[in-house]
Amino acid sequence: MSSFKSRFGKFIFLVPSVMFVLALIIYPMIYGMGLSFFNTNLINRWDFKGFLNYKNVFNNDYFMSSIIITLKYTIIVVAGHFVVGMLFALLLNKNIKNRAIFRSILMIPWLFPEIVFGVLWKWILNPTYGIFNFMLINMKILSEPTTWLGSVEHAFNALCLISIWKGFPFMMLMLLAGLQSVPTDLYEAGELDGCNRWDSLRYITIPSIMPVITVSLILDTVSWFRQYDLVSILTAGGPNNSTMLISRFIYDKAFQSFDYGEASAMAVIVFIICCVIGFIYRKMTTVNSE
Amino acid sequence: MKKLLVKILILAIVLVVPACSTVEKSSESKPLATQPSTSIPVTEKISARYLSCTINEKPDGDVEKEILADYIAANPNFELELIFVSATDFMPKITAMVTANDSPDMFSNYVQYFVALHDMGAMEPLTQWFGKDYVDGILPAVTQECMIDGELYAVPWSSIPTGLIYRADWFEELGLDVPKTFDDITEAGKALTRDIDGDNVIDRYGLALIASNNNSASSRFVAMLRNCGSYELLNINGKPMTAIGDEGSVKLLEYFYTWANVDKIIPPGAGEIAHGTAINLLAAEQAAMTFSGPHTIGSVLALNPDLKGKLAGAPMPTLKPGEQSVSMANITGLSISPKSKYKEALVDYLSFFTNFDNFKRYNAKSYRMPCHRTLIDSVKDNTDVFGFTGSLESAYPLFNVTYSGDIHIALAKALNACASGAESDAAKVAAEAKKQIEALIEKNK
Repeated sequence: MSSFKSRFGKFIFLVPSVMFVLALIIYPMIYGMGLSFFNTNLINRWDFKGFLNYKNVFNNDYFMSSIIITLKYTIIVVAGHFVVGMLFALLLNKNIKNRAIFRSILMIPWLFPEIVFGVLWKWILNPTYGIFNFMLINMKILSEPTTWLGSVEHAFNALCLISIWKGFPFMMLMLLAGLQSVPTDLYEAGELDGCNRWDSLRYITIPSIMPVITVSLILDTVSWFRQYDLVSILTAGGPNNSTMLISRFIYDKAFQSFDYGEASAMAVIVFIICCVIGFIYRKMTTVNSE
Repeated sequence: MKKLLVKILILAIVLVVPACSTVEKSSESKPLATQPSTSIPVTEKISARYLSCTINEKPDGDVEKEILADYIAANPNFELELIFVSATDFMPKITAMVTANDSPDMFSNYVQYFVALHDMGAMEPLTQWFGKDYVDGILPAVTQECMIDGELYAVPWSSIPTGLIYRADWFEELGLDVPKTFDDITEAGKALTRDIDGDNVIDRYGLALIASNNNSASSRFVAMLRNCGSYELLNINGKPMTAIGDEGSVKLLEYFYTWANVDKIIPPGAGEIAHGTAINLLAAEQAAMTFSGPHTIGSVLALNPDLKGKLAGAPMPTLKPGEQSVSMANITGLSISPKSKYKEALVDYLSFFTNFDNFKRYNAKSYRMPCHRTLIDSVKDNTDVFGFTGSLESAYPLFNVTYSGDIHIALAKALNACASGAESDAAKVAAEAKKQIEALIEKNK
C-alpha cells in the first residue's frame, strides 16, 4: 500500500487540474469535432452527415478567401508587433530616464479590453464625427472626410494598424524580459571583438533571446489568427468581405446562419491550421538551436 | 493520505454530478379562455426571467419598465429579472440559452426567427392561453407571421412598418414634395444636401441610408426591394423562389451605389451607417431622410425633443411612379418558453402589458404601431405616425424559413458592397446574392 501511495499519490494532486482541462478544453473540443459531422440545431435535430460538412466547407469560396485574408492579416500584424515591440523593447532596455513611466504608458493599449479599444477606434475613425478626419482636414492633409473602415481601399490596412497598436505591448514585454536576461559580458566580449551596434544585435542579442522570440511569435500568431473582437466591432468583416477574418466567418455561420455543423467543421480546420503553425515554429526553433 | 483521497473524491462528485444532471421541471397550467384586460393578482411567488431586446432602449424600454413597475405594484409576488440583449445579438443569445437548457421564461421575438425557434421547440403555443377571440383580433398582416401551422407562438406586441422618415419642415422650406419614387429621393436628396454655414464643407445630407453590413440594414432593404417589384424569397407553388438578380433588385442596388458614391447625398462612410448612426444624424440635424419604421422618430425625439412636429412618416417610395407602396409588418413579439414554470403568471402579465392603456403610453414615446384591432385607436393622438398608420393594411407577410438569417447575410453583403463603393456593378452584386440564395434553397430542400 505504501508503495502504491508513493507511486501514485502524486497523481492525486493532478486531479483538479486534469478535471478542469477535461471539462473546459478537451470536452468542448471533442464536442465541437463531433458536431462537425452533423446537421443539427443542437436541440432536437441531429442528422448525421459524415464528411459532407467538410466537403461543403472546402467548396465554399468565401471560406477559402477568408482563410487567405486571415493569413495575410496574421502575417502583417505579427510582423508589426515584432518590429514595433522589438524597437520599444530595445529602447526600454537602455538606462533611460523615467523608464518605468514609459513602460507603463506603452502597456496601455494592451491593458484595454478589445471591445473598448474597438469602440474607441471606431469613433476616432468615424467619417462624420471622428477626430482623425477632423485633424487631417484641419492640417490640410485631406480636403474632405475619408471613410477609413467602410471602404475596401482602407478598411484592411486600418484594421491591421489598429491591431498592431493593440498587440505590440505583449511582444515588447516578452522581448524586454528576454533582453534583460542577456548577460552584459557577452556585449563586452563582442565589443572587444570589434562588434558595432548592428553586429551586437544580430550576433548576440537575437540569438540569445531566440527562445523568447519563438515562444512570443507562436503565442502572438495563434492569438491573432483567431482574432474576433476587433474585427467584429470595427468592420464586421466588411466592406465586401475585405476584412472577413475566419473567426468572424465561423461566428456568422454558427450564429447568423445557425449552421452549427459547417461552423464546427470550419473550426476544426482552423484548429488544424493553428497546430500546423505551432509545429512549423517549433521545427524552426529546433533547427536554429541545433 | 487515504482521508485526503476520500475528500478529493467527494469534492469531485459534488462538483461534477450537479453539472451533469438535468432536471426537467413540469409545468402544470390551466388555459385562459379569453384575454383578460386587467391583471389577475398572482398569489404564489413568481421569479421569472425576461430576455428583452428593448428594455434598455430609449425611450421604449423606459415605458416597458414603467408598465412592469405598475404590474408589480399590483402583484407584489411577481418578479421579473430583466436580461437585455441587442436585437442584432438576440438570436445567438437565445440559441445559447436554449441549448444550455437555460431558457429565459419570456423573451422578445422577431418574425424572421420564428421558424428557427419553432424548429428548436423554444416557443410555447399561445392560442390556448390567449384564446381564439384574441387571436382573431390580431391584424391580418400580422396573424400570418405570428402563426405557424395555425398556432400562435408570439404575442404581437408592436409593429414597425418600414417607410420614409423625413424632415417635413425642410421639405416645406424648399418647396419639395414628399418623395413617391426612388428617383424622387434622388432629387430631394440633392436639394437637401447642403453647406449650411458656408465653410465649403457639406454639413447636411439628404439621406441617412442604413447600409451597414447587418440584418438591420437588410430588413430595410427587403422592404425597399418589395417596392421595386422584386422579392428576396417567396413561396411559389410550394417552392421557395428568389427574384434577386431581376431588374428591380439591380436597379435598387444601383441606387445604393449612386446615392452614396455619385450623387453623394449620403454622409461619407455610407457602408458604416447603422440604425443608431442614422438616428444620430437625424437628431443632430445632419440628415433629412431615412428609411425606417416609426420607432426611429421616437428615438430621434428622445435625443432631440426640439424636433417634435418636424419629422414625418410616409409610405415607402416605389421604383416606378403610380405603383402601390407596400410594407412589411416587422413585428416584435413576446414569446414564452415551453419549459417555464410560470406560464400562467406570464400570460397574465402579457395580457396586462398589451392592454389598450399601456399600448397608448408605449406608442406615445416609442412610436411603435399596434398589431391588434383593439389597439388601433390607441395611436390616434400621435399625429407624427400618421404616415405609417395605413402601412399595416398594405403589409405583406414574409416567407420565413430556417435559413432566413442566411438570406439576410447575403442581402446585407450585397447592399453594403454597393453603398460602400466596393462594387459599382450592381448586376454583378445581385447575381452573386442570387447565387448564394439559390444555393441555400437547394441545400435546405
